[in-house]
Amino acid sequence: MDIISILFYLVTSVVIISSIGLIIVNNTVHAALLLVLIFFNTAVLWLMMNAEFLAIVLVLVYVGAVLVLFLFVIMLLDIQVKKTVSKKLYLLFSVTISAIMFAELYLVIFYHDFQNSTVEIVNKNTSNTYEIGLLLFTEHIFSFEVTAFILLVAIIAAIAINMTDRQRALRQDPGKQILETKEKRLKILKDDEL
Amino acid sequence: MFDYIVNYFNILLAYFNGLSILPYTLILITMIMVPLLILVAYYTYAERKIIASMQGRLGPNVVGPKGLLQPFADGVKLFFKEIVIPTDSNKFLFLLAPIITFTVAFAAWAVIPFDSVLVLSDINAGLLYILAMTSLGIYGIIIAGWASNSKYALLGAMRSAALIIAYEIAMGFSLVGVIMVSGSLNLGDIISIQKGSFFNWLWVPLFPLFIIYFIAGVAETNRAPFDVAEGESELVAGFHVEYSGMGFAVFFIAEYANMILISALTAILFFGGWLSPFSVESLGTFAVNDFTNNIILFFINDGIHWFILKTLFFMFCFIWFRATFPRYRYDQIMRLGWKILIPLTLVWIFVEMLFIHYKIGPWFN
Repeated sequence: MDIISILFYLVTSVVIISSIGLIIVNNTVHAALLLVLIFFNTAVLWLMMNAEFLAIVLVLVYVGAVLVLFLFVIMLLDIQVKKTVSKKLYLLFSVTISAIMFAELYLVIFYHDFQNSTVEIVNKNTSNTYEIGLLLFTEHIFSFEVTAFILLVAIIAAIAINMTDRQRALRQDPGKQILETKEKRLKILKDDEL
Repeated sequence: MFDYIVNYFNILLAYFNGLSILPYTLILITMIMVPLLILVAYYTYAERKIIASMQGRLGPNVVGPKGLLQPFADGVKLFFKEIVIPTDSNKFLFLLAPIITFTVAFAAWAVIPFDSVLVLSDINAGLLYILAMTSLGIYGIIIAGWASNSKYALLGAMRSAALIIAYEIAMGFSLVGVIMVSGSLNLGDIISIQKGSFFNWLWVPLFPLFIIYFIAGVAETNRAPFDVAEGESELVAGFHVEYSGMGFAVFFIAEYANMILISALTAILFFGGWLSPFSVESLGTFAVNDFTNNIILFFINDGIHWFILKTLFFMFCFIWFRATFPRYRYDQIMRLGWKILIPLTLVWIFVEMLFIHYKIGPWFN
């Protein structure tokens, strides 16, 4: 067994074990950190397939930004570990959902010819990043622009939700504070003016 | 003189190439790590000395000649101190946090080119890799703040997380400007596009982005005037208030390594890395004897010494800022990050688009 396959089995087992751990741990902070571990190891898997751009962007976006926000919120919660109450109805639902998901994955993985696909996507002479950029801005320009538009709408919506309480809040506006000058606030009075 | 050293280094490299890849890489990593750790040690000494002289004090001057052994005395002291783990803290995460911070601070150095040949891993997506690694540094801070089970530590971690998220966007956008000029994410390519003289470097067309990058870099490393995360007058020491002994030392080393990394990156991205500020062709020949001539030419030519000099200058700037500026208030930091720096970067990216369209300067031909 060469070093690449050893690495592959190591990384995949870490992914699987931490995915199981993510479901069964009680502490939400631990769960979020396990999710970090999963993303990181998935990035390593992608790196092993020479998809360097995707791998690094996965770490940059999901691990570096999205999960930081997750942790940010989770840490402000008061974590109380409670005994889970087992209800028969929950069990029924969860078994049904997981059975459906398993069946779907089974159909996709075993009836799709993953092994025999010989399409050469990346030109060997140019870098991965270059090829992805070229594809994004030529062939997939429409979906790219639509994605950008959806994200823009999401940003505006998020800001709009936060703006509603602005008038009632007792808060200083740092912009106004910075624009204050000495002349506006201080006045030197001569003796005869007093 | 220097040629012999480079030659010797290349022979060494060729020898190591014969070994299998793992020990070879480990040796190269040690060759980067050890000088870096020594630099960190003396950076702390330099900081204390420089700030002392700026404030009219003497600074450390007892241990060794002129206090030169002070960093090692500090290191030994911290090494032998007891590590106190707070009650009700999350022990595993409490011990994991400094390790994460330390690892991430040094992992980014893997792609830094010290010279045209001296680079550990010359990967295509080098700049993205550095961005990813620096964005991971926040985990150490957040985990440390939460696992300590202390309100000061948690507040410091929250502040730090919000600060880093805000300034990372400005930092990323200013790097977009660099990528637009170079057309490549490889750090070696980014340097080679700046070939020429002092005025061919990228700080000329990207001056606002350089300023924003450096400000964001100071904020990312939690240094003054953006050091609200540790703000000793408000939060005692912020996220690492509960750490003692080696745990504290590791956070400290990581912070200084990050400062050196930001300085090195500024030198690489905007100031031409190992390139010399003079163009050798325009200088003509010297009417001095051969040996002196060679030495002068060596110092004028491109080389690792220029990279080190530039990095040292920006490292000095970090200390200079700390001695000069008072700490920003927290809401003003947020305002500066979101409302000033990010719009400015966007505007300059549009200006740069015009540069590219009209093929201005030696950069956009």
